[in-house]
Amino acid sequence: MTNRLRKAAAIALGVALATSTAGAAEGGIPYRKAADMLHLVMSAARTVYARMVVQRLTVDEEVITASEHFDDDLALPLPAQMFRFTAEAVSDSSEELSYSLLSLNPINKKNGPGTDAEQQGLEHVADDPDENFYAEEELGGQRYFTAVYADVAVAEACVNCHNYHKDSPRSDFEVGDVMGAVVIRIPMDE
Amino acid sequence: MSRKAWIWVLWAAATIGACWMLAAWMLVAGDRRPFLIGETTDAHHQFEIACETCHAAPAFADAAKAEKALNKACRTCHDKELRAADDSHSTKRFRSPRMAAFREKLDARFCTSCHVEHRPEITRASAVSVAMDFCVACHSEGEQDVRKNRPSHAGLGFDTCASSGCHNYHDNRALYEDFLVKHAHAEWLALSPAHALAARQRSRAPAPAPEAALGRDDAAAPTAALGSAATVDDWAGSGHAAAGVNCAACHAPGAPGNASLSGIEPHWTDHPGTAACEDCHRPQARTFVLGRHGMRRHPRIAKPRDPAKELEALGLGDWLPEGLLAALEDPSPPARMAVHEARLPMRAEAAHRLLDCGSCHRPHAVDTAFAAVEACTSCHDDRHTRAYVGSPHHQLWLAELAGEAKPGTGVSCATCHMAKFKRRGLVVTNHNQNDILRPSEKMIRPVCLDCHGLRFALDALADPDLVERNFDGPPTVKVKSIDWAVRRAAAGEPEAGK
Amino acid sequence: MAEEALRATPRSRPARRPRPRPTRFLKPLAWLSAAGGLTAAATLLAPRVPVPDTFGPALFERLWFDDTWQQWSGYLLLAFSVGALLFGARKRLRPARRFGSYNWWRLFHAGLGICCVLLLFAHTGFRLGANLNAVLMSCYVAALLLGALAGLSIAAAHDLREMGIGTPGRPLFRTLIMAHLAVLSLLPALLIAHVLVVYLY
Repeated sequence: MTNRLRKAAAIALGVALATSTAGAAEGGIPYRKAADMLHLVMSAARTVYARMVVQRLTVDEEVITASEHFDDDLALPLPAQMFRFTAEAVSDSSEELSYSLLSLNPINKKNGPGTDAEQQGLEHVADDPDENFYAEEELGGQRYFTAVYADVAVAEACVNCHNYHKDSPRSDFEVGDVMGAVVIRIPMDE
Repeated sequence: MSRKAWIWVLWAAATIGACWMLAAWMLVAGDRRPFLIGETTDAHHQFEIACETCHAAPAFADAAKAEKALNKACRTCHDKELRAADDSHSTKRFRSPRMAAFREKLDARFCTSCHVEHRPEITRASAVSVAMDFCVACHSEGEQDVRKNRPSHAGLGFDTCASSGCHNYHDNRALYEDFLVKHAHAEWLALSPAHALAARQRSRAPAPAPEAALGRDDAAAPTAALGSAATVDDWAGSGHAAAGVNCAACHAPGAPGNASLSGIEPHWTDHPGTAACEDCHRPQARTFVLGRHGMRRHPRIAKPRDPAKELEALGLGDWLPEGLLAALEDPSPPARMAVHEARLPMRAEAAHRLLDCGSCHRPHAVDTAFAAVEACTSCHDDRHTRAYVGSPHHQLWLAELAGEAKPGTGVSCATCHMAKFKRRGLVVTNHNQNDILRPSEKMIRPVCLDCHGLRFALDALADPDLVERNFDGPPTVKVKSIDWAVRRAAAGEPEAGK
Repeated sequence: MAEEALRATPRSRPARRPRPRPTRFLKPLAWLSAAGGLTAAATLLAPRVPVPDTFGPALFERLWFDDTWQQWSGYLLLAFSVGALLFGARKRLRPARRFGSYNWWRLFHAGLGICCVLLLFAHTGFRLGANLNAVLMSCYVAALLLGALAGLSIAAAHDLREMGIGTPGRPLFRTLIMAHLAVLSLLPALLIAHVLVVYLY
């Protein structure tokens, strides 16, 4: 089931990718607009998974749990993990787009800010969640358009897990707080 | 012409001729092992004659393309195990632009960054060709600095990460923190230790209905081929007879199912190939070709080059006379592994043996107990194998065979090296003995934990001498990872924060 | 070996036969040849520099195991080897004789020989290699050693003759030079195969 969902999400993103970044390369759609559209698809897919799968089956119906170690626990992957899996699936099939879920207070250190643009962007959206952050940066000899979107704690589950996880550097999150950000990168044509 | 001039002409002709010959050897047909720059690593040496298996890019492809093709070739065989291992450092993770800074230290997008082939001098354990403290590349600075994140690790050398039984680069399924904590307090031995899947497999009732079973009078074979009475007896007592599989099913695969003796005869063969086995035992056959015993039959090993096609690709299609072309032949790797080619110590008297289904499964008796121990010890002659005889695991095996212990309590060679798995509700024996062999922590979940506690298993596997002695006593090595993980979990917050 | 060569100056002992005319650059030739020969002999005798067991950009590991570095040291070695071949061209191509005396060219050739030994170290770390590479390396080192010995025997030609080694018609150095050339003649084919292997696999 999770596989099918993963596939569906990957296909949805693939479609978005084909229509947006191809346009950007031809000058049809500006990078910023393309990134905004991609972010729309991503957050929609994430919300759908969180609400229609995780919330329904774990809280409403109580038939299964969601767990970080979903394989061992025979549980559902957490929405954040699902997001990462689709990101990895996209990177598996294309280098035209990459995105990640990062935070200034990451449970896993590797999801902390790694570049200047990420640092600035994460701070920027933490201060003002309604204002996205856009930048251009060069990584590994390639210029990227980088867009950063605030990721807000929408449910109690998000907050609880992040507050009580032993590796979480912060334990006072509340619903509505900015917990992190989605970072989207599109390689720019020279 | 002077004598000197003749020498010059002769030399030039010989050099040009030699160059052509060497180039044809490389590009068209011939055994290319004399060109190898160094010994090929274990396992890969079995098909080193088929260069294109790994060197998959066309001749003269540019370096980047060749590198890509090479790395893709790694995945054709190793992809499944890496996926199953939930690869902690999957190549796709490093494709993200945000990993660019790490890629400069160690380009983890490519297998070949750490696993260079044909370089014995720099090849370390697990075919790693960089210094074994490679973790230092990314985990010694900034946010990733492990000494900062884990104060307990402050004084540890980076050469110990992967050598102390705590971490692996790829497979950490039995080593991750929460898993350690979950299994921290298990006793060294379970209350009723038994391998669940083995128990299930060994205690099941014979699958077919008894009326389908055949007896010694049902053996249907041409009289001349019927062999000794012992052979027929072996068969009559085997699972094959019990399942209604008669002589012709293997010896005359072309004959129709209900053929009479005269119908069988034209199709009869005294030495049926492994195809006869594969027809029914598919999952076993599929896994057999993945291990070192059967990998020469792996379908992705490159076929011998077709000299005509190679010439065509070079634009020299009609260049070579037909007769010469026919003389060119590319060698193909032998279809079976020979014991004398193995790099592990083997018994001298087994040197000539070739590996296929029949090497371990005596074809008429089909005795899995024999295949699980005696078949192994009839070739393997290393300390671990020799020490098995009489070891605690062996005692348990003998007890189970004697009917003194419950099914699944015995530990044979196959119990650990050919772990069983479930496939569509059936228990299947993995015939890839190398699947969970290296790094040895791979064995913990599918094998060790059935009977032993995690702490005991970690310690035992991290004690190389104990492994050699085939676990004849308690481990002397103490892996600290569980204690550290438990302490961190108990603290409820990162150590660094305290 | 070097001391022996040094004693080969014309005034070292009374001459029984008419003394050959003093040749220029004999002393440096002897020195260069001895040094080149000794370093080349290290291929067979000296222990290999071990590969470092710590991760990081170690110079030696890069030199001997990094494809790009190997490529450049290889081409440089090839260039110097071709440069050394010019000595042979001088003998056979008249116009080349206009530039410098024979003795000067010979000294220069010995100097290039030393450079080749050093570059060979950079390229291989004096590892013999395997299979085709081992054959190529053996031939190359043999050529270097024979060249060095020939250089020494030229410098010590007078002494050698006094010791009864070689005849005036066939001095030792000529035999050594012939051997040097014989081994060299194998190199082009081996080198081309070596380069092909590198680019094909």
